[in-house]
Amino acid sequence: MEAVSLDSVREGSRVTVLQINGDGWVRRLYQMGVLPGSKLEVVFNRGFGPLIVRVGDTEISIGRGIARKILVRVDES
Amino acid sequence: MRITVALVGQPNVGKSTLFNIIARGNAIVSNWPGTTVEINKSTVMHNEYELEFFDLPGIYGLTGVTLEERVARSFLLEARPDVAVVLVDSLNLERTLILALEVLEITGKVVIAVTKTDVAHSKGVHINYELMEKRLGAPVVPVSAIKKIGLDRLFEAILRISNEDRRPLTISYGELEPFISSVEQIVREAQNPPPYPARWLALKYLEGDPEIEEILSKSLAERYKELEEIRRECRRRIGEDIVVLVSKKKISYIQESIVKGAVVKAVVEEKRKTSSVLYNPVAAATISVLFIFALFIGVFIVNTGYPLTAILERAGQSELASRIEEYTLSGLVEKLFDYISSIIYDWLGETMLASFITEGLLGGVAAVLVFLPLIVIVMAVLGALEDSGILPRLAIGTHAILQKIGLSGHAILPVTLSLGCNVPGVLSTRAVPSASERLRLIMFTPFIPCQARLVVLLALATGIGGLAGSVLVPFVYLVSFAVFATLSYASYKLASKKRKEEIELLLEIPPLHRPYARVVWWFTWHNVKHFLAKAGTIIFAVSIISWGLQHITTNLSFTSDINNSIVASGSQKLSFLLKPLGISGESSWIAAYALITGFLAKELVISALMTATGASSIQEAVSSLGLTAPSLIALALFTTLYVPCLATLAVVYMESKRAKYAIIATILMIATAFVLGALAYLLANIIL
Repeated sequence: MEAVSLDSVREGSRVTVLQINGDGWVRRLYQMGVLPGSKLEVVFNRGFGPLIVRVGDTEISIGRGIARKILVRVDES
Repeated sequence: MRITVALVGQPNVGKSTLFNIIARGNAIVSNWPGTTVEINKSTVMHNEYELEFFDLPGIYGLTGVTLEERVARSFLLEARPDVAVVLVDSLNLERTLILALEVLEITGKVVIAVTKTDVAHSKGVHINYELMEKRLGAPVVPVSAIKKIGLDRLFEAILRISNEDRRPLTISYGELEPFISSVEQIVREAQNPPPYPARWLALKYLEGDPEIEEILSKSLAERYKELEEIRRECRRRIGEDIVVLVSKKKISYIQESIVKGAVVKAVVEEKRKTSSVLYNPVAAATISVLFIFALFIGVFIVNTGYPLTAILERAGQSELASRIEEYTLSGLVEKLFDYISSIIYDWLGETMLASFITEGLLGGVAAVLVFLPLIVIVMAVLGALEDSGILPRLAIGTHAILQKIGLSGHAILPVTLSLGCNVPGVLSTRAVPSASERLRLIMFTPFIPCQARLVVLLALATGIGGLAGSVLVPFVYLVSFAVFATLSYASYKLASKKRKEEIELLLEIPPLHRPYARVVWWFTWHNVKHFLAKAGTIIFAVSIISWGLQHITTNLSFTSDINNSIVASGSQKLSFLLKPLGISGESSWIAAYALITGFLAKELVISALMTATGASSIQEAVSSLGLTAPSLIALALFTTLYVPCLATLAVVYMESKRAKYAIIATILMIATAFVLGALAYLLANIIL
């Protein structure tokens, strides 16, 4: 199972979060439901600008720099 | 009997809506001690009980990341409400329950209100509330604020819980437990233990919460070292960030022990139509900027007629233009006050009292109140954008552009609010997650011209006339934004030298819906009241004082000729400062005087010009200054850029918590205004 950073995942993929690095944004991500084990759907990712992911029923916009620090496993692309 | 109730909830769960329905418009605003974060309060009678509701700021958790989270947390700990109502969103149950658990760990006196149940039901989400209630050990009440369903049951649950003695919820944190108990033990043994739940303190300490560290180190003194030892050991054994572990345990507790079996989702995985055009960075940026631009042009036209009037005038339709101007908001308000003044003069005659009432009281206050409808409109439009869910999308759309100047999409609200009034603009930076970005916004958004400055600009533009007059307003706005962008970028670069800083966006995108009038009104009122308070206090006082100064001579006798007054001679001495702007000569003191009063409130520039020149209209006042077009352009630029008004300066100080920043901001603004004002004068002399 290969871990890749969230920003490199193709649009439309479903992923499971493995690890989140860095500190500043980590807590906020947890509170928004993004933490190791969470299942996300990448709704929008065109290689630049913020990503849009869906967690449960909510869409959140994640800046590329933060996305780079989120390691995920691709479940379905 | 009185029962205090705190409303707690994540953003977008429908907390403001519920509070507004409960309050029925009767809310009082109070500041939580030591902060400028406001807590709305409303008292409601239910049976014989007086329920006092406190609407805490919308927060994602109680970890203390943002100022609002710290305020909500300290409210729960210090004010100790009898009951905390935690709102959870039935469409995002698992995520929003995290906050409920965090509150339940502090106090057991909690009622869970499950919101948006009508929508959830239609989406095939079925919740077994009784089962959830049993598992959480707290009443769970389904409500729909918009349809006013479940409010009675909510009140009943609040009354019931307020009479019961309830312990905080204990969640098992597995391998963390031994460490929690050892810390808890030491905390309990303290001479004067902090008046908070010991287990909660222990958990937060292990998580590394700086506020809790401070509390414990104070109350434990010597024994604090033991805690540090335990935490080191804990970190070594766990080998994982404690915060991560705790969050994971909470989530799995929610999934396994609360939601499982209690929530059934009829699997209708609808393929959601994603508004992907709005997500595309380039398209979104273009659309967002154009949208904001068009919106504000529309607002400006309603408020002042500009730029429609300017275009009509250039097309030779000046009669139509002045007709339109008459029926714009500021035109109508002006008319109203003229009418009141004329009644007073008819009634009292040309006496000192009449002069005092019309020029001193009405003149000053009216000059400010003229802006009230203008600001109301700006705020209402932004309120509708926010409530409908468009604003977060604009934040995403503009993120790429804002990133270039050292800001993020989070800055969009402070920036657009500032176009209305800088005070709420600065206050709204509280929701910006990055502390350094927030400081930049606090210091530099005052450069963005507010509605008051727009009206001063328009007055000066009419004074100039011609093509130069028409392009003055867009020119000054452009310069102001350029200054804002440059300073923000420069300070970002400066800060990055010390510590690499990433400007990032992390934002929930709520579903789009039609804005609710109540919520929009709430937003508008929340942001306008600062302005009203300013009009009622600072400006009221200043108007009276300046009227006095205008009518007293240096020999302390009354005069009706302002040229003999204290103000005239005082401003005369300062007017040399305006030489670089090409303002000199006999009436230059009037400009100096106007700028001095403008420091208290920018909108006073106009009333000062009018009272000092004795003119009956703004245009007349400007033309009687006898200034050339280049000087007027320089004056316009200077007025817009120099010093934010006193109220803005006060919030810059309060929000940044340091006088240093307010002083730096002021010096920066005056310096920028002088340099650019003088430059504009020189250039305009060459071009015109």
